[in-house]
Amino acid sequence: MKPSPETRLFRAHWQDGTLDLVAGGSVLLIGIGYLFEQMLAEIVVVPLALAAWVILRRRVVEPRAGHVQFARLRRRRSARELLATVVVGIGLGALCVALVLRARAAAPTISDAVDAVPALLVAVAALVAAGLTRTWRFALYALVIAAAAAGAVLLEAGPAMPLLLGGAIVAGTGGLLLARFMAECRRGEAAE
Amino acid sequence: MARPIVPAIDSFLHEPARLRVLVFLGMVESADFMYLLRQTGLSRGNLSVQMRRLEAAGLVEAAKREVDGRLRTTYALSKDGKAALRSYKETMQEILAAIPG
Repeated sequence: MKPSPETRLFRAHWQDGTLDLVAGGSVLLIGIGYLFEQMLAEIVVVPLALAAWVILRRRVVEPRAGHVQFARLRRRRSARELLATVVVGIGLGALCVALVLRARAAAPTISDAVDAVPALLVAVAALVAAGLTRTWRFALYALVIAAAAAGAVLLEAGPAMPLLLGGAIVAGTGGLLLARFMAECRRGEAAE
Repeated sequence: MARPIVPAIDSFLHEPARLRVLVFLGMVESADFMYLLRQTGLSRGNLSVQMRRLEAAGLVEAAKREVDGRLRTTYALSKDGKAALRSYKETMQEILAAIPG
């Protein structure tokens, strides 16, 4: 089914690459945290990333693309979806932790599979972002990160590898999208 | 006087550039000049003229506020603007339905 013009307008709102850049950068930092066994890095990284995204949008995107406030119906729907996602996310996270603890207690060798859990949680977050922003590329990121997580288990590469790989891909795509957005803006300014 | 079989189109709204702006504003709650400029693809001068006309006709309301030290003007459809757009849509639907084939 063809999306409505309003849905396409909402989708276009997320094409400047800033969200990808910041999300990818955060995943990279979390990966680096795992590399140096600083597993709690995400507690600092996530709020910092959110602040960085707001600043990037206000300082880089909005002066060039303008500011829009979507209709109340759209904002309500997004808020509802976000709330549902957070609840499901917390539930999934708690389930993962419970499964990991149970598996570890039963068979200590299961720890290789446990290494995939952080990247799988990031993949779930990417899937959520795909739903919230109505953009397919976030679903693709989720697939790539999940595949990297499976690869890391098979290669016994540890939890950091899929996060570093996924983060680099997401941030790289964000960088390319942002560069394209800036070039489009320059072309638009030159045309006037 | 009998109601015409094919309804008359509101020529003020039917102007392509104005209609474009109104349709965009109909989809969102509010948008600033830069957003409309990018989304409609109109030139700065043309958009500026259309916004002035729409404001003068009472179809669009402008609000100014300071953001990061800069004055930002945001536009939204007024109550009359929403009603006019709805009426325009109904008229066009009637006209399109009357076209054979």
